[in-house]
Amino acid sequence: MPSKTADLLMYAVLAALAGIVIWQTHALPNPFGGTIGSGGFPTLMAGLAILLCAIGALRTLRAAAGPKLEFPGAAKGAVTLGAMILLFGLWQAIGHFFLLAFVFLAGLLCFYAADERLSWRLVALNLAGSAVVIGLIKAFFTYVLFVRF
Amino acid sequence: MDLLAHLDLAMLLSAAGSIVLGLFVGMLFGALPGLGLTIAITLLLPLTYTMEPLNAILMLLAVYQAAEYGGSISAIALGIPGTVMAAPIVKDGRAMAQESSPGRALGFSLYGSTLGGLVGGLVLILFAQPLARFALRLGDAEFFLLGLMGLVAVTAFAERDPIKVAISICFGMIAGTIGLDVFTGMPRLTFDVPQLYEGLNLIALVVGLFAFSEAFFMMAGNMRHRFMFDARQMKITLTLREMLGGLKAGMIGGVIGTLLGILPGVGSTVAGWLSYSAAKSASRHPEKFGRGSGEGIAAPDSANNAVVGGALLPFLTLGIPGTAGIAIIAGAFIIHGITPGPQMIRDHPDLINGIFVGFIVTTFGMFLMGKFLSRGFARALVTPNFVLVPGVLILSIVGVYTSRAQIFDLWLALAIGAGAYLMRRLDYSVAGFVLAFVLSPIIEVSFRRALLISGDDYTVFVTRPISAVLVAVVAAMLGYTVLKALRRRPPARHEA
Repeated sequence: MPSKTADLLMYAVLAALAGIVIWQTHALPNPFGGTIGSGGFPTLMAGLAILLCAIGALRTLRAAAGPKLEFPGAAKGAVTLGAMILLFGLWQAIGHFFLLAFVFLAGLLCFYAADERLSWRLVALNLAGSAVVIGLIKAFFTYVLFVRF
Repeated sequence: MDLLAHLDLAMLLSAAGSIVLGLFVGMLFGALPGLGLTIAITLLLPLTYTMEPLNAILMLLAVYQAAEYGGSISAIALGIPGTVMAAPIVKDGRAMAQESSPGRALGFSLYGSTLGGLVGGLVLILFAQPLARFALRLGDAEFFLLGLMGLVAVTAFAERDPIKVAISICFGMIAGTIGLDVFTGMPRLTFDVPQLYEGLNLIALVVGLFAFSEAFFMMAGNMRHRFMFDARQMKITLTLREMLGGLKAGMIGGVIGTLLGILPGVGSTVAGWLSYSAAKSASRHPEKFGRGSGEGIAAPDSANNAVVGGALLPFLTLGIPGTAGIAIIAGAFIIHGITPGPQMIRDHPDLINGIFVGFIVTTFGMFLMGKFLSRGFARALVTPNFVLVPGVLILSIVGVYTSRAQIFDLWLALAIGAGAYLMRRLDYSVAGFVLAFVLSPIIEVSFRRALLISGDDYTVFVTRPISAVLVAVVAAMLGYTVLKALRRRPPARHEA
């Protein structure tokens, strides 16, 4: 995507977010009176953000076309994002965090390692390494910090 | 001030253990390119829930100090700065490593870091009490203006597009207002989600902003790639003459680093480059700079570590964090219900004295760990990203969950991480965002309280001499920022 388009898109998204903030906060009651109530500060900041986005967008429009914006490793990022969503969703639904975390860790290690030829030895090492790391996390967080996962 | 009062053996041992852990993690993460101090502090922050406040703070300060030095290890060994702050060290560090020995370059770096840490620490110890006494005389209007000054400084001195930095700050401020309003108890921007009533979880926020977004950055390229280097000559050796040769540059770096650390929002990056230039101007051999000069290594390294002590001064005495690292460390104070500021100096003398003593111990500890383990940390540089990224992700997930035992925080961190990745790709400032998030309650509360007390009279912000001076400083910095924004066309793009 051309960086100019990406910049303009981001300004639009941020201005829209700031618009939502104003919509949510501008009408909050102000029991103490005065000019700044509960919603005053976020409204002020959101208004400033919209103004800055407008200035930024104008400058971008006037600027020459920049380099193409690339997202190296986007596929790996998308898979990782998916894996994290799956981990959190399954954990929320069925529990068994440590088992899921082991699968997540081992899966990511093998997935990332596949950037070069993946040997059976490396897969075995990844599985063993993941088991050790998750075991250490379980021991430390369960028996030292008393966190229940 | 009786710094060594009320110390017992158990306390000393637990504090020492926390410092050693902090130093180890900080030096390791500082050395590994891509990770750095914010991720190290972020990952250790959840552990502080179960620690004594002093130990928690010392551990995080140790991470900060050690990561500043750790960044120089990869700068010297690989020519890739482990942290942004280590960038000024690359040229001379790499040249000395290739022409003489990496151990010698690391020596200048370590001695410079230690000197800077001591200068910053001494300034902190000497000026914290007087500054806190002075701060007790400040009113809400002045606290509002000090907070504002910090945020304007981030925009004014940023290397990025000031418009985008200002937008990041605005959204950081908005994020800081999420939750119940402390004045009225009214929920703001909570969208009827009960988990948001206490505000955004700081740990989820910083993990998303720094750890998750950085992990996405690290996925670019071949993740099996290993850095190669010769670790044989990494032993730190420096003669007395060489050490003394770097002393003046180290002192220059220490003074500049401390002063810029005190000014909120400026940080190590500016301090490192500025001290490099100053040391070059003051050197008897400026022609050696850029070709393996020890002074060129000692000055920025000293400045980087001096920034830590300098940045702690406004944070401890005024409650104003000056760098993203200190803003995250503020989380440890928040977790333990301690509000940094002049009242803390007055009400918690044991804690403050412990921080002072611990800071100096941390600096010497960093020296010892650097002296004996730098070669080991350098060997860690060969760890490929395919191991580091899953490691960072799983530790982040466990850390976020540990903070409040709510899976909601993980969803939040993930959403923030994805958003932060996009914003970083487009040159927005996550450091500015987190600084604004931490400063937001201070700025908003003091602003509204000043207006309430004065009966909505806006002249309260200019009537007292101190506030008038602060308004002038803020106006000058805003003017500078506007000029910078006008001159900057078209906006340049940074990599991360």
